[in-house]
Amino acid sequence: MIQCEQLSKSFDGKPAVHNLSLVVQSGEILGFLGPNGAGKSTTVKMFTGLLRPTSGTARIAGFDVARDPIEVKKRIGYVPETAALFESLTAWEFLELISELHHLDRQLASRRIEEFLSLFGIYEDKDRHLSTFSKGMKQKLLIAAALLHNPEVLFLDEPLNGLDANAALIIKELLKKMAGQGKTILFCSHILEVVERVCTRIAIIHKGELITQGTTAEIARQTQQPTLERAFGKLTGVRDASEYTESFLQALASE
Amino acid sequence: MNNLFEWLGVDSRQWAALSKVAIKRDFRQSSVSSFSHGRTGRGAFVTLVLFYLITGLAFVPVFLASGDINFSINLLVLYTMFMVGGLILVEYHAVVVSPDDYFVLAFRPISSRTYFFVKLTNILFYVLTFTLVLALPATVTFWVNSDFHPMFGFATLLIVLLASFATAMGIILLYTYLMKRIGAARLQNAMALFQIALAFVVYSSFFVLPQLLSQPSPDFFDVEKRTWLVFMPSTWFASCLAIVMGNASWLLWLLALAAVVITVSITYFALAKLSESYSESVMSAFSAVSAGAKSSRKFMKPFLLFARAQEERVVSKLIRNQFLHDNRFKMAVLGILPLTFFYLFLGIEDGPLPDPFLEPEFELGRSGLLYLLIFLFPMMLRTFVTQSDAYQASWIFHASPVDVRRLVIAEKNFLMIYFVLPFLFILGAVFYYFFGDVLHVLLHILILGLLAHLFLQFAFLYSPDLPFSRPNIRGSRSRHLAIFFVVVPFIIYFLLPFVFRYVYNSSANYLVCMITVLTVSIILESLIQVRVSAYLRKAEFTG
Repeated sequence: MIQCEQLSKSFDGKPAVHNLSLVVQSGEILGFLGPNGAGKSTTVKMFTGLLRPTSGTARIAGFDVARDPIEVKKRIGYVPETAALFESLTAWEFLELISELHHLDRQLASRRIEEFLSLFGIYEDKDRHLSTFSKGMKQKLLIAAALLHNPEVLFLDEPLNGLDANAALIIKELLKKMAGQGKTILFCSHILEVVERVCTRIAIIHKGELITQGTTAEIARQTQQPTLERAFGKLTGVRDASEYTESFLQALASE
Repeated sequence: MNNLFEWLGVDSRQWAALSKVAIKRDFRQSSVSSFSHGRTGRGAFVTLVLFYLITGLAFVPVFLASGDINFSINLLVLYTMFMVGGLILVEYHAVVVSPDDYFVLAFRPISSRTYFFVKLTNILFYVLTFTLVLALPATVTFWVNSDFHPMFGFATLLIVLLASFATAMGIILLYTYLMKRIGAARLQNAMALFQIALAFVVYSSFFVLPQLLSQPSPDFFDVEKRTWLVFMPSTWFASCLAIVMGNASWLLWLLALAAVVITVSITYFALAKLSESYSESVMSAFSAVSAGAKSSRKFMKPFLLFARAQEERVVSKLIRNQFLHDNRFKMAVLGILPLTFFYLFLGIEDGPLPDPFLEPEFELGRSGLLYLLIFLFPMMLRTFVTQSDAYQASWIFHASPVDVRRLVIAEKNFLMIYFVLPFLFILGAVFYYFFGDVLHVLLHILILGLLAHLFLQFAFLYSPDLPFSRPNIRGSRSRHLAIFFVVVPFIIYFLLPFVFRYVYNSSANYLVCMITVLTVSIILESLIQVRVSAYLRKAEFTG
């Protein structure tokens, strides 16, 4: 379970996330949406212990992020938005390191690493340095690393970035099954179709503040829009796409 | 062992895995960029091991000449402490101050103490290995001199390692303490100031060394004769050997005790007090980075003063902005700037500098250090200017319609204009003070400036790297410094006496020299461009 109350983060006095209160129950996949710079990644970074909240509280799997960060980190899996990997290690070495950090039984870890690498189709590349991996391969490895210790709570920041259609399909199915097993999943993405299809509930954040949450149908009803895409546009104040394009082309044409 | 880790609050399994991976990463890291030479961290490490072994061997004749064990151990410990300070200053501070593994590890269940221990292990691995190699020849010499006394060699090695350990721990403690005490917002500026201050301390201790090596006086380190020596930490550690030898006075006993107490206190404070809050400090530092850089248009104009072409503007803006926002680059540059003042001071300390137009036969002596700087300084900066953690962003040079050859030339010109020229002005003022003849000073500075430019051209010809296009490889900066400190003085001490003897004795010779240097310079400029083009033809961006 993910729970936060009045969670805020400011940088140099400028609020990035403001008074965010949110609950994600076990077995739920929450789609965490927002335009670029809305505060999604900052929120996830606070949940995962990468950033310290300026105020407010956050509890993950029953533990306070500020008071028991290690207990929280033992129970979470995180796929960051940028491929944070040790590029001079091989795929096997990297996953082996993650298993050591989580104190996994070495035999079990070896078995799981082998299975995960095979599942993602990169077993043949297990001894290659990560610097030679493509973006999609690195993303697969990040997902494998997040799942290796079978965490209770998953934070996925743009997890399908760079994945081919087959791998994306596997991940989507996997997430649904994991939620079915009672895992809590926070899913950040810009691809609204995927969010609609995978997530059980959606929360939209804009300029650091939570502006709405509910199922796709509930949000569409609240905003009186036919689709999530339109609702998102209306809630985040985005101008009409054609109007935007026109301004963009005008800017390009100006000398 | 596990009990010890448990007692220290360190997760032994995580510590072992992370320490192993840290060394593996350091050794495997290679400069994979479009201008790749395939250099690796392992190569840098091996070069440094050889360098310190040779340095250690070079001390042996000095020890034998002095014939005094007290002098020898003091000199060895002093040099070791300087070496460790310099290494951390130029290279290994980033391990603690800006750990590059933060984004990979921050959300893993690693305690602050374990993380701090991993950082500590990484630095100590290098520092103690280099110390061991440096001290080995001396240890063997002492052991042989003591008629193979079993404790004597062992004690020497232990004392030098202890001094090295204490120095490393002391500097790490200062960095960590500063990170904890100073708020995230002011951390970058505070670190810059601290780096300069630390550089002054380290290099001032080095100041004593040339004096000792030029006149190895056995009683130089006699604390009874020079009471100020009791304030030098190297004396405290060196005193321990007198105890092993069985001829320690009560003062030496006291100094040895001070060494032990200081080492234990530093270690205790770092491990027990600061390690607990280390992760928090790193997080604060990264929060400050996440806050984004403030507008930095201020003082941009001076950096664009000489930038006419687009490529020159690009390089000027890039280097200036990297200095403001890339902490590693800033710390590296600030770490060597104080060296300039010390060399300047040492160079003129011997007395008035002779005017080469009036005394062409003069020997370089200590004033050679002054000249050495003109050539050494830009070479060192060139190394820093080509490395960055954000080296992968150098794809932009290949994807943009810029002339890459001109970028490399602009990089070289930037170093000449903003680092060499200001230094030549300072040097000109110093020369004027001693020569009293403006024309002589101008002509002398002109030759020196052109020669420095020639050196820089050779460096770029050897390795025409684009700005910030290579990854920071652990040990590579120190390796470059080690090579420069050996090669450049060697060339200078042959080249300059020749120039002084034959160039300044007639106007015709001076003119011929100018024309020759200028011609070579023009040829080199073209060769650099040819070399860059050749590189470009086989370049592949693999970042």
